[in-house]
Amino acid sequence: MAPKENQEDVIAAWIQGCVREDRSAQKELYGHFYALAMGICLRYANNKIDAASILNDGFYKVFLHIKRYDATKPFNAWISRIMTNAAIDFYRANLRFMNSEDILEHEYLQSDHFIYDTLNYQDLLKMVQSLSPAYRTVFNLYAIEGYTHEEIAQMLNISIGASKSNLFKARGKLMEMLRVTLNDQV
Amino acid sequence: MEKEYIDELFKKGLANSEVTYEEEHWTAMERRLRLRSKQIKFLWVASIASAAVILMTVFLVLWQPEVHRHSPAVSVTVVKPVKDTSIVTPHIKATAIHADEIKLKQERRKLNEERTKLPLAYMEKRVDRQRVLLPPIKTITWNIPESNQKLLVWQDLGVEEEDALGEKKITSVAQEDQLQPIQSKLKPYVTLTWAPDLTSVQGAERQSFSGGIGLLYTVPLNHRISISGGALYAKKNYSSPYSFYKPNVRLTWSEKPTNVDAACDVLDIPINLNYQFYQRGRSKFTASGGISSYFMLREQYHFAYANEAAYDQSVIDYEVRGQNNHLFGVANLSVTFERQLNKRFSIGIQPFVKLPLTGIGYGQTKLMSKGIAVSVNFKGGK
Repeated sequence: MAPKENQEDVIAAWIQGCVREDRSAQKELYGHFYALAMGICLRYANNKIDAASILNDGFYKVFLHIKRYDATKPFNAWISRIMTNAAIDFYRANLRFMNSEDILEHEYLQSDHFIYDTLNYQDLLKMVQSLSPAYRTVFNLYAIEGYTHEEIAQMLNISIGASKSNLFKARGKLMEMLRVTLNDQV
Repeated sequence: MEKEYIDELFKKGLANSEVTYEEEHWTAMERRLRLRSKQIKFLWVASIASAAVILMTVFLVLWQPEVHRHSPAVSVTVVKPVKDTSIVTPHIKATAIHADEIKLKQERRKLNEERTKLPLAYMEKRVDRQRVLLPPIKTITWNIPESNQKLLVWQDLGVEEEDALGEKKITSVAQEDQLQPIQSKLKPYVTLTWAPDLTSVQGAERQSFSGGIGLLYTVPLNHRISISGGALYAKKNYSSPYSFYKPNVRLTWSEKPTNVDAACDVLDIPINLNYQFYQRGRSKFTASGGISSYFMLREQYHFAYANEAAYDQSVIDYEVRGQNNHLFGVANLSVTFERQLNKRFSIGIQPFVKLPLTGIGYGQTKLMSKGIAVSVNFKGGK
């Protein structure tokens, strides 16, 4: 594996190539950050097809606005933020078009947490993807990416109360799915 | 405790994505980037063409021939009779006339005089025959302001003479062709248009009353062909089953709507080529074809469901602002009947159709309009 310093130089060279709209540099950058970007898109999408659409929407924005990238900040963080925004844009219409199904309360999980620790990436991804776009987006933003409800409300153009409510419902749904998974395993 | 555990479980579990690179995703990306390059090239060509049209228009409007700007004085020669010696009294009156036209008419006059035995020559003969003195020729020069030169009109009232019996008669030296009106110059003009129409989604067979109002600027290229461009603010109403909607952002509702009513505010930017195929007197017919770009300022959709009571308002009404723009997305075809009212104004009636070249709005629907526009044209300048 190339030393870190060299890799940063290589990425910087790709970025410069992308500024010149050099197609080979664009392809290198795309390939290098594919896994990171696709991982984010899969978490926000219903399925892999939607995730691929979000991925290319995001990379299109990356190539279009790469001149605006501030080289003093990590490129990973910049590209991650763009992918998140692309996912929000992709489902923006759906954030308002959710089914108004209420979950008033949910049962607590069993205390033997170690059982859930055995769940793999694909199991967890499948559970997140099965949430409605509104629940999934808020869960991703709050629980995985660490945004506050105020920030989420601003990003999604919803109220803080709606953000909290969606997070609560998302957790409830996920607990329900974990319980079903546990029962299946038992 | 439970909340934190759930969050942590998913955060850790999804941190390391198990994703393998798929070349087909890059192929799709590359296709999109290539398409963008083509669009940029097209926009450059369109911009250069538009700039050329604008420059040409400015040139046509502002450019005046050299002679118009450097003709401070006009020289007109008249024959002034000497009192009591002439039996011939030429009556020539000069009022507003353009320097070029004076020159042209003088040339014509010379030719006419040669052809019809000029009054002067005729006068000389008469004078010689009747043994009277030939009146001296005097040159009168008017200094006519530049601003008035275009308004000048030459009038030749003819030559008044006495016949042998002492009766006066006037012999006109002006020929018929000199009395023809001066042909109007090609000038750009502005059109205010109101265009009510019936709009529908192609294939849906439901028509809704819509309409627009706007301004167009037309530049004639010659006496038959002209180019028009401008902007119209249009309200497009249309209704169709949801099956005609192909939105880019897929909705994940459990039940699809049955029908959609749309009301959209659209900025229509047309560019049309016009061909005048018939003219008689003050009336003319023009056929036009062109292309419009639609900028969707606001789109409002009302979704209807089989079981509407089961849905709340947020699922029934949807609004999008400024998200969908369609460059050259609609074809324009029309025929115009135009009637000239006076030198500056004319009115027109224009049956038209607007045909979809691409999907329009959030639903990417194929919008079609047909209607009759009413317009007033104004031609500025002198």
